[in-house]
Amino acid sequence: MNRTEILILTDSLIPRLNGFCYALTANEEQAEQLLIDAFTVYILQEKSFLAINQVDFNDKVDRHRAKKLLLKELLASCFEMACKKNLSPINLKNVASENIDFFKLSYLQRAVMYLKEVAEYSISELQEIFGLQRHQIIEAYYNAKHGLLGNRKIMTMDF
Amino acid sequence: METNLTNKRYTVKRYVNKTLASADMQKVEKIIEQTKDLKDIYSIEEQERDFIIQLIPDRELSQDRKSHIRNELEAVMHDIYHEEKKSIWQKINDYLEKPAFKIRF
Repeated sequence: MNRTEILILTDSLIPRLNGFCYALTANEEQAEQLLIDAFTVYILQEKSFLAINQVDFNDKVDRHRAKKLLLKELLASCFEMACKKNLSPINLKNVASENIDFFKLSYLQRAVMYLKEVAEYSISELQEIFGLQRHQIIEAYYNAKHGLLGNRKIMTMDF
Repeated sequence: METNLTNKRYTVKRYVNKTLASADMQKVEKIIEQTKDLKDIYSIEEQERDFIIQLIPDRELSQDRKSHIRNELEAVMHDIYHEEKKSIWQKINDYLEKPAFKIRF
């Protein structure tokens, strides 16, 4: 797969990646910059690049598989970058009132919650993206849920 | 009995959260369909899930912003692989333009 083909695949992933970056930053400009930085780092990492190098772009199944893999790798790159970057603290005054509780969560909790509920990833897929154990993902998920619901309801934990 | 109900409640919760093993999903779905109590639990859990989804921001990207990001990504690709995009004639030209040796005085 050449670079043009990677760009074509990435093009269709931009809305989802941008949504994820927004969930991490709560700021459109920062989200855009995070996405660009994460893409740059990903392209510079030849190893990840080579992982999808053996893809036949004309084969529909192969292309779909490559797209899924590329999305996961870019999501991982965005998350890693957000954690490493010293992003300015979220100004909750600029956030929609219904999203305030969400932006009070940690990076991991927000990332897990967004990918689980909005992007509908499974726990095992989240494990791949974040490189964590199953129980760590489930813990982040339930803590995030608890953080979102707050005093509205006392959640029971099931692992 | 109570423990059994609690377990069922957890199972429904895990079904709604999709944290069950994929092999068990269909089995649990059938059990929920057949049991009224579990159906009720399921609808409560489903409502809670819908409520949580409303709290999560999911920004839609405008066409302008999308094309701006696309251009930026293209520029990144171009910058990183700039050298490789040169044609063979450009490479020969670049090579010929370089002095073969320099004399230092």
